[in-house]
Amino acid sequence: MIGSFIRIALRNLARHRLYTAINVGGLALGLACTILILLWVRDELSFDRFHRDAGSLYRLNWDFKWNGNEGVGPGTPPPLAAALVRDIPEVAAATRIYPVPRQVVRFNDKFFNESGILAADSNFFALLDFALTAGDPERALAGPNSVVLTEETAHRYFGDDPPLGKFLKIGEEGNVMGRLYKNLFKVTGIVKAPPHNSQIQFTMITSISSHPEVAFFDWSWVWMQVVTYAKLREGAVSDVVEAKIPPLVRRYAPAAFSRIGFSFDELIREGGHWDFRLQEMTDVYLGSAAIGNRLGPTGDRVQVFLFSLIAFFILGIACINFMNLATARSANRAKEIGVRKVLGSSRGTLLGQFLAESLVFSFAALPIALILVELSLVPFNRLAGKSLAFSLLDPPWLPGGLLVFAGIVGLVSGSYPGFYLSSFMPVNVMKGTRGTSHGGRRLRNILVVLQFAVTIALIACTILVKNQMDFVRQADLGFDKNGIIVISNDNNRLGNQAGAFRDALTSHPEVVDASISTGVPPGAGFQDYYKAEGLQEGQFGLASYMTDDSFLGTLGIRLVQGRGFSKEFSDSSSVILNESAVRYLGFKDPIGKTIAYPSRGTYRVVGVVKDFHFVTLYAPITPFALFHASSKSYSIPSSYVIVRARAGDPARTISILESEWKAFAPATPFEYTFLNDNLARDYATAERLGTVFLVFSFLTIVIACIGLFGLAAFSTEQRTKEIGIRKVLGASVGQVVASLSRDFILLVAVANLIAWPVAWYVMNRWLENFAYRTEISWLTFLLAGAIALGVALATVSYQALRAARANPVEALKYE
Amino acid sequence: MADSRSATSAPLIWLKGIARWYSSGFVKTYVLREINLGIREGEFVSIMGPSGSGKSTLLHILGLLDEPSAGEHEFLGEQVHGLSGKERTELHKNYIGFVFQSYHLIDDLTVYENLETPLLYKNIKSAERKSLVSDVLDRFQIVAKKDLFPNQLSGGQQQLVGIARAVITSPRLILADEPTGNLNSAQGEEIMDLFTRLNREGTTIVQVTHSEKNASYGKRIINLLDGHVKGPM
Repeated sequence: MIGSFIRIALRNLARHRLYTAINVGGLALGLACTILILLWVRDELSFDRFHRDAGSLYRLNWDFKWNGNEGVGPGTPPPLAAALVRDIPEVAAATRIYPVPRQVVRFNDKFFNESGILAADSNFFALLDFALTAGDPERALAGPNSVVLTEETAHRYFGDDPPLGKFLKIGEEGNVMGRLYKNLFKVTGIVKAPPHNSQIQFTMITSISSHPEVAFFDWSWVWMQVVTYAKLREGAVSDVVEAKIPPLVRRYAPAAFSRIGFSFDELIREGGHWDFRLQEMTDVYLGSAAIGNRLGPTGDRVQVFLFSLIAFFILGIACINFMNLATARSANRAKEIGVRKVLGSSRGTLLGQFLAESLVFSFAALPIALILVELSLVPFNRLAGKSLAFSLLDPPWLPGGLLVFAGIVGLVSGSYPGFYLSSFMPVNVMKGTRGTSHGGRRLRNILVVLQFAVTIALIACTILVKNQMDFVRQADLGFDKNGIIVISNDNNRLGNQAGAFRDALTSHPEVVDASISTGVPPGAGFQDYYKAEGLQEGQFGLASYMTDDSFLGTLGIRLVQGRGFSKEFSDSSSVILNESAVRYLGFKDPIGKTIAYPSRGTYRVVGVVKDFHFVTLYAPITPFALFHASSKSYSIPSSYVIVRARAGDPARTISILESEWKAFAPATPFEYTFLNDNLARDYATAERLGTVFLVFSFLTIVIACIGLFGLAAFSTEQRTKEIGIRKVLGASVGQVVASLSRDFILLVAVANLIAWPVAWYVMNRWLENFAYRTEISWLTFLLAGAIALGVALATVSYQALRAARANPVEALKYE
Repeated sequence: MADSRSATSAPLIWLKGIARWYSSGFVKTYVLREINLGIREGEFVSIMGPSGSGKSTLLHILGLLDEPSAGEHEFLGEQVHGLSGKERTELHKNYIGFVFQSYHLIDDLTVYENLETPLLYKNIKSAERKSLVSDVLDRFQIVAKKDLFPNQLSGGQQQLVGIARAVITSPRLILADEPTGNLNSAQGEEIMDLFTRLNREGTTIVQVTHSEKNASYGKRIINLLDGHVKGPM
C-alpha cells in the first residue's frame, strides 16, 4: 500500500507542477538555510572539545573588586599555577601561557612580524592536545630559548628544510626588567596548527622561561599577564576546588601587595576581593563575551541562540507554507477523500497517505537543499567569518541524520493537513457539498500573519542597521579620515630615525603631511589618572597620545583655543586638552591652567581641540589629552607614523613609503593600513549583522511570498465562478482584483502590528551599543510594512489580475 | 406493512422506526420519519421519490455513511447503531459497493488504479489484486482503457468503471445513487442491463432513481414522500 501511496504522490508532484515547485522550492530553501545555520551552530559548539581531558580542564579567571573598579578577566599572576598544584590536592596539574607581544622574527634574511607567539610552561603539551609531529612533547619547552613552530610557520621560515635544531631570532636582544633577554631560539618541536575551533591560537610557542618579565614577576599577585589552565583530578568537584582558592590567595597575596606599597587587608576591609574562579574549558569560547580571551577568539552564546531561533523560524515558515497549501487544496481533494473513505479507507490509512505525500515532498526537497548549501557555502562563510566545510560523510551519521531531519520536516508539515483532510465526512461529498476552503481558514490566516510579522520585523531591522551604519560612515569624526595611511612602528623599529623618516616622507610631493604619534584613531592610547588645578577631589582619568608638532595638521583636527605644539616653543611640559576634558574640569579659561601627573610632573594647557572621536562611535567621547613626544611622560615602545597622502594613485604612494621604510629600517617588515579600513574594521560586526538581517529578510520574504502565491492561486481558482458572476454583473478588472486581494492585504496589515513593537524593542537594545546613534523613526516601520505589503500585493494581484481578465463565460461554464 | 423478517430468505438489512433530522436552533427538520424497511439478500430495490424526499439520505443510512437520529438498524443480522467508525469501515469495505451519479472516480488515478484502490484497502496481496483487476477489466470490456485517466473517458465509460470498482470486491450489496442521472439513454440502458445481470448473479442492489423506466428494472419499488414511505413495501 505504501508503494501505491508513493507512486500516487509522485504523480501528484508531476501533475500539479506549480504547487510542486512552490512546496519543494520553499521546503528546499528552508532546509538549506537551516542546514547552513546548524553547520555554523555545530561549529560554535565544537570549540575545545578536541582536548582529551576537556571535561576536567579549567581556565582560571581573575575576579576582583578594588578601588572602585571590579570585573572578571582572563589574566592571572605568574605564581598562581604552582600555588594551585602545591596547595590544592584536587588540582592535578596547571600550566601558564603568556601571550608574547608582537615581535619581528628572523631567520637569516627572512623576517615576519609575528603576532601569534605564545610562551608556555613545559607541561603545555601534556595538558592540552596539540599534537607534535616532530620533537619530544615533554622536553620541547623544558629549557629556556626553545620554540615549537606550527608546520605552516616552519615552512614559512625554512621551506622544505628540516626545521628541528635550527635557530630563529625572536625580537631584539636586550635588557628587560634588569635581566638579559636572549633572542636566539632553538626549534625543538613541530606542532600541527591549532584547529580553528580552539580557544588557544598560535603560530609558535616558546618556553616561558625565555622571557625575563615573567620570571621577574614570579612573586607578584598583581601582574596579571599570564593565562592559567588547570586540570582537576578525576572525581574532583569544581565548586569544592574553587572554595579552596580564597584561603590560598590570602596565604600568598598580602606579601606581594605590601611589596608594591598596598595593603591586601585594607582591600578586603573596604569590601573588595581578589579572587580566582574556575571556568570550564568548554565554556570559555561561548561563555566569555564579558570576560574575554587573550589567546584566541570568543563567541557569543546569545548569537548562537538567536541564529538557531532564526533557523527554526525559516524552517517553520517553509512548513507553514506546506500546511497552508495542503489545507487550501482540501476543496480539490475532498472528493478523493470521500471516495476513498467510501471504498473502505480508514482515517488512519488516509492520514498515512497524506503523510507519505508530504514525506515525498520533503525528501524531494532534501537533495535540492543540499545543492543550495553547497552553492552558498562560500558566501555564507564570508558572511559568518568562518571556514565551514560541508561533506555528506562527515560526520558519518550525517546522511542518516539528514534523512531523519527531512522526515521530521515532512511529518510536521503533513500532520496538520493530514488530520484535517482525513476528518472529512464522505456523506458530505456524496451530497455534493464539496469541502470548502473555509476549513482551516482561521489557522491559515494566523500562519500567514506570523510569516509576514517575521518578515516585516526583519526588514525593519535591516533598515535600522543600515541607517545606523550610514550614520556611522557619514558622522563627522572631528578629523578628516580620508587619505590617511598609518604605518606601524611597533617596538620602535625606526629607533631614533623616526623623525628623519617622517621628514623624508614629507619631502615627497605625494605626501601632504606626516606625524609620529603613540596613538591613532580608533584607539584610546594610554590612559591614566591625573590631578588638576582647582579639582579638589582626587584624580580624573584621561586618555592620551604623545605626538609631535604636526599631529593636528596631519589629521585635520580643529583647534578651538590656544595653539598646537610647535617648534617655536618648548613643549615638553605642555598639554592640549579636548573640549570634554575642559568641560569635565570646569575650566572657564583653560589656557595656562595646569594638570599634574603624580610623581612625573606638571603640564600647562596650551591649547584646546574640538572633540574628535578618538575611539569608535560605540563609546562616548571622554576627556582626552595630547602630550608632546618630548615630555617623555610615558615610555611607549610602539608608535605610528601617520601620513596624509595627496589624492591620486594610492599604490604609488605606498611604494614610495615602502622604499623610504626600507632605507630607514631595512631588516624589518613595512606594515601599513588605511585609517578608513581600521575604522571600518571596528564596525565589521555591526556591518555583518546588517548583512545577516538583509539575507534573512530576503529569504523570509521569498519563502513567505512563495506561500502567499500558492494561497492566492488557490483562492482565485476557487472563486472562479464568483469572479465570473461579478464580471457579468459589471465589475471592472480593478474591482475584481481589489476584492480578491483585500483579504491577503488585510493579513499583512495585521502582521505589521505584531512586527513593529518587536523590531522596535530589539533594535532599541542593539542601538544602545552605540553612544552615538540614529533616532528610530516611525517612517522606518512604515517603510518596512510598505515593502512587505508591496511584495505581497504584487504576488497576490498577479493571480487576481489573471483571473479578472479572463472571459466570464469561460468561468461560468465550469458549473 | 409486512415485517420482512417473516419472509423466507434471510434479511440483509432491517430498519425499524428510523428517523433522521437536522436541528437548527430549536427547530428539527425531518428528512426521514418512521421508516420501517427490510431488504432480503438478492433483491433489486428501487427507491423513488421527488427531490428532497429523503432518498439519498436513506441510501446513505443503508450504506452506513450516515447515522439515523433514531430507530434501529441491522445489517447482516448485526446491530449497526453504536458501531465505531472503524467497525463501520470494516462493514462497508467488506460487504458494500457504491455507485454514484457523478461517478466519483479519483481524478489522479488511472482506470486500473481506481479499480485497484478498494483492494488495497482490503489488504489483498499484489498478485491477487492484479488478477482481480484484469478479471473485472475483462468482464466490463474496458481493458483498452486501463491506463487512461477518468477525464479521458466519456460519462458512460466512467460510470462503467465506477460500477466495476464497486463490484471488484464482490460485495453482497450495491448501493447506487442515480447511477444513470448523468448519462444519455443508451448509456443508461447499458448500465441498467449491467445491474440486472449482477442481480441475477446474486448481488443485492438498491438504487435511487427519478426515472420510472429505470425503477422498473428493480423487483420492488419504494416510494418516498417527505421522508415517509408511501404505498406498499
